[in-house]
Amino acid sequence: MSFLEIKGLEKGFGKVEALRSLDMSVTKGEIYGFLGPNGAGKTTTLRIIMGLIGAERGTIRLKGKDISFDDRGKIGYLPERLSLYGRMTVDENMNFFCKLKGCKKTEPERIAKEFELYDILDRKVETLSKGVRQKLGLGQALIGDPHLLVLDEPTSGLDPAVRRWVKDKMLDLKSRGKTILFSSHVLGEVQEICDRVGIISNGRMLTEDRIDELTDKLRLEDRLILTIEHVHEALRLVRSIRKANRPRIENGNIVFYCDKKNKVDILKKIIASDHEVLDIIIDEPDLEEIFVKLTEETI
Amino acid sequence: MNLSSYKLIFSKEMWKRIMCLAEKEFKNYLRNGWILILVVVFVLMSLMISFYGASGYEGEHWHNLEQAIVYMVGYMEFMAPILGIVFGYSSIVSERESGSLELLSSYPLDKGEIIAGKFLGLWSLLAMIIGVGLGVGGAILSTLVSEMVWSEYYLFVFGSIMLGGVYLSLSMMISTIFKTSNSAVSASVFILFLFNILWFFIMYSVAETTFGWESMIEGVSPPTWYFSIQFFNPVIIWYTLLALNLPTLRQSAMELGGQEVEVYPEMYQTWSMIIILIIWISIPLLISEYRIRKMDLN
Repeated sequence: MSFLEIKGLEKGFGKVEALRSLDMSVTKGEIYGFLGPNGAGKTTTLRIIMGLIGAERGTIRLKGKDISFDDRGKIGYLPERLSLYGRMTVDENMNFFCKLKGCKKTEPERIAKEFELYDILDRKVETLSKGVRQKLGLGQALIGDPHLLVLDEPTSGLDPAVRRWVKDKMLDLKSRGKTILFSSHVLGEVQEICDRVGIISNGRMLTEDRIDELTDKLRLEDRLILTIEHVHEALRLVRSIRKANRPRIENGNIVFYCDKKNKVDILKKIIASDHEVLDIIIDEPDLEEIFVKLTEETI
Repeated sequence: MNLSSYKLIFSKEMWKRIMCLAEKEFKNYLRNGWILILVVVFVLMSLMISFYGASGYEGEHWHNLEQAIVYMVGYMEFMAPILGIVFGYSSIVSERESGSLELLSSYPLDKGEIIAGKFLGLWSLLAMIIGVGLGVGGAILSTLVSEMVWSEYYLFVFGSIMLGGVYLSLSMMISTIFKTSNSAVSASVFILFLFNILWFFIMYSVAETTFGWESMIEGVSPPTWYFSIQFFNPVIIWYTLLALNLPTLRQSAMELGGQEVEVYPEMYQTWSMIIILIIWISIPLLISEYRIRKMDLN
């Protein structure tokens, strides 16, 4: 059973159809990457889950039951445009959100220690850097020990060090049994930390699966780069191999594409020839290719 | 309001959340530099007006509490609405613009609780400021006038807090209607202009074209509908509340209008004026609650 299950979600803004019968399912304890081009409907979906905007049609079920007002206490949310109360201190912000969820008084201190905010509890939020504010934002999402975290572009606009910190924190939270649904534009980081991804375009879910299964499903090929002696003669050899696709010379190397399962056979043939292979680089298809292939088809 | 909201009406948790939000609003606004400047100006102005009002503008004529209050009523007629508008116009719209309303709404808070918490927090702040400003003014007055009737002064302070509450409630409603702070402040200022200035021209025209303004001056009581229309202006209600209890203010109003005799109808009572002011606070809050419930936070 899915932890969070969305079926047939529809939403329009005037004449614009933001979501068109969107289906989605997030499994317990996983990190789910929600991807899509700008305006695809990612933020709208997350806002509907959080009850910030209403859907026209469709159902959202959390742990098998229709999501309700009371579930808000069990979901932590970090909006894309994080805005905390700038004139209040870190401590006051944490205490405020803690009181709203009816948490223990010790919780803000515990979170402050965990999120490296303990030494700046008395600082006003308006004086903090964006990175520290994001840490505070992530900390507030964890108030009340929620089962599910909904994070909208949590690493957007952050410097590499804080981005790394946020990614590590997400992996840490996953290891503690939290389920995380997050949207992002940075495909590399999604590939790095997500168990599964959902790709949305024009308000419709194009696909959702594990990344490796998506590459198989989409028949994406590995890219092989060979550094080889007598490159022009070697190219003729590669061209003669039927399952080596689109062979060409790039920067003095031979580049070609092939299906994963044919890769070893092709390489054996090349190595068995008279041409000495100096180096082999195997470039497996990444999320970017999956994303581009899927979204290009729908745009 | 859905069923779960009704269940929450008397819950202790709901009141805890409302008070938590009220406390946050109070603190957050109190730390705003512009608000602090406004408070200082308000207190200084109250001090000046109470001092000069009581210490003799035209010899002995001004050496009494009621005359000083008359002087201060003219000041509070604008100051209480301005304070209400300053606190209210941005209360929802600026949080919507900044994105903090989105975060707040993701918490287990009913939309009605958001409105109630914000209103209570801001009204408390407004009451404190008016209380301090007029309190200091009252202290000055008590040293200058021969007979300080505190009950009259308390009524004046209470009425001013109520009037500020009405404008706070109205501008909060406006804040849920408009999508930018600029539009909200413009609409709030228009409301101030309408009730504090334009209304009197409208009512004069209505009186003149129907029963004739002159007849009122001569002591003929206008028709009931004319008094009923006045209920649609909270400033008139506030003024009437004070005039009913402060004879000098009533006399001053009559002199200003050129009237020789009192023309208030029976329905103009202290309790009815207080109830109408409460209604004036409640209805915009209910509309705000409806508006924020229907609001898509995008």
